[in-house]
Amino acid sequence: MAAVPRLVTVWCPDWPVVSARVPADTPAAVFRANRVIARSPAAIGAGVCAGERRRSAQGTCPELLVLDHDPARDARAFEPVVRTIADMAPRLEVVEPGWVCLAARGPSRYFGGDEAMARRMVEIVHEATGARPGVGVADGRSASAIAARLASRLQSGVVVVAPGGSPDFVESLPVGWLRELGEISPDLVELFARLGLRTLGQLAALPAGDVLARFGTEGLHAHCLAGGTDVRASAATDPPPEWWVEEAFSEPVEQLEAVVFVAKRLADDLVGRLGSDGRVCTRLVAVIETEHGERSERAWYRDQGLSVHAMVERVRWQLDGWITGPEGISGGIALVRLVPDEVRSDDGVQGGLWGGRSQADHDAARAIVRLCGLAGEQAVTVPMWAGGRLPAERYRWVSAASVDLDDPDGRLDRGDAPWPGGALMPSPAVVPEQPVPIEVLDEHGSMVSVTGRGEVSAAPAALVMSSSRHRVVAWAGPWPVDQCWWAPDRARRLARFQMVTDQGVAHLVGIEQQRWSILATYS
Amino acid sequence: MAVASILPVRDRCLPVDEAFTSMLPDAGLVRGRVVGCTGPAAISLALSLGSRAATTGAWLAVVGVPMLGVEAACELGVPLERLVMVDTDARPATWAERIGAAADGFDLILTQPPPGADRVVRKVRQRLQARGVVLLAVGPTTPGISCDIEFSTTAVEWAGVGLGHGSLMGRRAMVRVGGRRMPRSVERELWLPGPHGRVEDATRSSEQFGASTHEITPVAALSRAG
Repeated sequence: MAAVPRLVTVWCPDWPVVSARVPADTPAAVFRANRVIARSPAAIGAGVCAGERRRSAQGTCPELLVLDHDPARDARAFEPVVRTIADMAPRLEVVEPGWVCLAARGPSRYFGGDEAMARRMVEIVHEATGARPGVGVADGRSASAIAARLASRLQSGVVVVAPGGSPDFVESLPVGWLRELGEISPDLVELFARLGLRTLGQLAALPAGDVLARFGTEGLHAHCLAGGTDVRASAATDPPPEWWVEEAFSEPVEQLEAVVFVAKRLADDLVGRLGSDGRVCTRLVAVIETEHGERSERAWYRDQGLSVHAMVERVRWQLDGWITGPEGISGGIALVRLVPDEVRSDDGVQGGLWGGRSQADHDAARAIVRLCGLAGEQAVTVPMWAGGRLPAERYRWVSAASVDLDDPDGRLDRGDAPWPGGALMPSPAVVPEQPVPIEVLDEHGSMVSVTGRGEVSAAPAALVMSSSRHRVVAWAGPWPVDQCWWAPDRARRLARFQMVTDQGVAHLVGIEQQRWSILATYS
Repeated sequence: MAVASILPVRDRCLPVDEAFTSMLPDAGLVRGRVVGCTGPAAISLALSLGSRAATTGAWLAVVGVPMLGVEAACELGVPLERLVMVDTDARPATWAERIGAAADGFDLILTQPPPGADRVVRKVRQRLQARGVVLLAVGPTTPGISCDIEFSTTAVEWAGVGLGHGSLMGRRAMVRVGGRRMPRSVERELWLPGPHGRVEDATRSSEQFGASTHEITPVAALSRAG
C-alpha cells in the first residue's frame, strides 16, 4: 500500500453552527431534514445529540435555538479559512464547508515535520476565524479524516499517525466512525454493530470477498475504510485532458444567477460525457476568471462522485465566497471552466435503480432551470417535509435550485414517528399561508367561544367571512392543540373544528385567543 | 399537429384513474388539451385527474396556485418528488410566459388562470399542443379560460361529520363532464376523496365505505349550489 498518499485533514467541528454566528453560551442546533447536524457548545452541554429529531432535541433542551441548514452561508463563512490554508499549501481540496484535505508532503517538509505543521495549521485557522479546528495527519483520506475528528476533541487539536500506521490506528475504533465520515449509510453501520462487529479492526479482519458477497459494493467500501486504506484514491485514473469544459463569455456577466446557469449547463455536459463512459468525477477543479484577469481556482472533492447538482452547488459556493470576500472582484465574470481532476469508474453509488433519470426527468430539470432564470430562484419551489400539527406547518416550500431533484428522499422523508394530534385524513387542498380571519356565530347571532377545558359555548350555526355569510350544516370538534408551551414566543394554544357550509364547502377552522380563522379549506 | 394526429390514441393520452376512464371518450387526458375544473371540489378533482399520469413518471408544475395543500396532493396520489410550484403575479402576460416555460419540460400543468387570461390563451394553447402538455385549469365558478373538456362538481355532500361529532371522512360529489371535445356530457357520482383517500366511483363503492367505517352520519342532501 505504498501508493496511499499522506494527507492532512483540517476539520472544523459543527461548522454550520459556527457559520451562523451563534454566541457560544446559546444552545443552538442546525437541522437538515428534521435531524440535528451541528450543535453549539452549550447545546452539547445540554445533551443534544447529532442525528436527533427536532422534537426530541427540543425535549432535551427546551430553549434550543433551531436553525435551518444553509450550505451557502456555511460556504461563505468558510472562505476565509480556505484562503488562510491556501496561503500555506495551495493545492488543497474542499470536501464540504468545514472540511479541507491536502497533501502533507510539501507543507510538512517546510515546517519541519508533521507535528509542527499541524500545530501551525491549528494556530492560523484559529487566528483567522476563532474556530478551533482539529488537524489530522495520516496515510489515506479516511484515516486522516478520522484523525482530524479525534483531534478536534483534544486540547492541542492535533493527531499525527505515523507513516504506515493507519491500519493500526483505526483498528481499535468503534464501527460507528464509518457513519461519521458520511460515506456509509447509517443502516449498514447499524447492521454491522448488530452482527457483532464492534470495531473497525473486526470488520477489516473479514475476508474482502465475503464482505462483498454479503453487503455489496457499499460493504466492500466500508471494509476498505476500516482497513485504513483508500481504495477509491488508488483506483482513480487521470481523465483525458480534453474532457474539461469551459464557457468564455463574449460579454462579461455581472449576475451570479447567470454564471450559475452556465455552470449548470457545463456540469450537465461534463457529467453526461463521463457517465456515457461509465465514470464519475470525484475531484473537480472549478476555475472562474473575471474580465480583468482575476482568478479563483478551487478543487472540490466528494467521495460518492459529484452529480450535476453537487457541481453547480460547489461553483455557487466558490463564486459566493469569492465575490463577498475581502478582495472581491472588480469586473464581470468572463470565464467558467470545470476540470474533472480525478475520475473513477462509477460503481453504482450514483445512478438510480432503473438507470438514473428518464427523459421526462431531464426535460423537467431543464424547464426548472429556465423557470428559475425567468422568474427568479425563489419563485420556483418544491415541497419539503417539516412536520407539525397544523396544515400550514407540515410542508415547507424550498427553492428548487437549492435541492437535488434526483434525490428527493432526504427532502420528503417523513420519518417513521407519527405526529400525535396532527391533521386528520383527508387533508385540505387549499392551505393559506396566513389564517383568514372570520367570525363564527351560533343560532342567536352571538359569537361562539371555547373554554380552556375545550367546552364549546353553543353549536356553530354560521360562518361570517369578510363579505359573505354561510350557514353551517355540519361541524365537528374541538381538537385542541397546545404546543411549545415551554417557549413563550413560539407557544400556540388553539382549538380546531371542521365545519361544512351549506354550499358543501368544508373548512378547517381554528380559534386562538378568542379569534376565529380559517386554517384551510377542503376544496 | 400532423405528427400527433397519426399517433395511436393511447400514446396521445396521459393515463387517468379508473374512476375517470369511462367518463372520458379517449379513456385518458389527450395531450395538448385544456381541461377545466370548477366547483367546490375543483382542486381535489384536478389533482385526482393528474395523479395517475404523475405516478407513471410525468412531472406536474403548479403555476399560480399559491395555497395548494401539499398533503392533500400526496393523499390523492401525486408523487411529491415530481411536483414543482411556480409563482406568478396577476398579470396575464406573466402567467402566459411562465406557463410557456413550464410547458417545455412538464407533462402536466395545474393552474388558476388570473383575470384576463383568456386574452393571452391562444399563444399558450399553441405551445401546449406543440409540446403535448395537458393544462388543468381550476377556478371556483369558471376555469377562466376556454376549455376543451370541463369538469364541474355539484351536489357536494360530506360524510362522517354530524352536528358536533364525527370527522370528515369522504366527500360525494356529482361530477359532470362537458365541453366542446365531449360528444355529450356525462354525469357521475364520485367519492372525492373516498374511504381510502383516493377518488372512487361512488356507485360502485358505496357499500364498501359503509362496511369499512362504523359511524357514518351523512349530511342531509345539500342544495345544488351552482
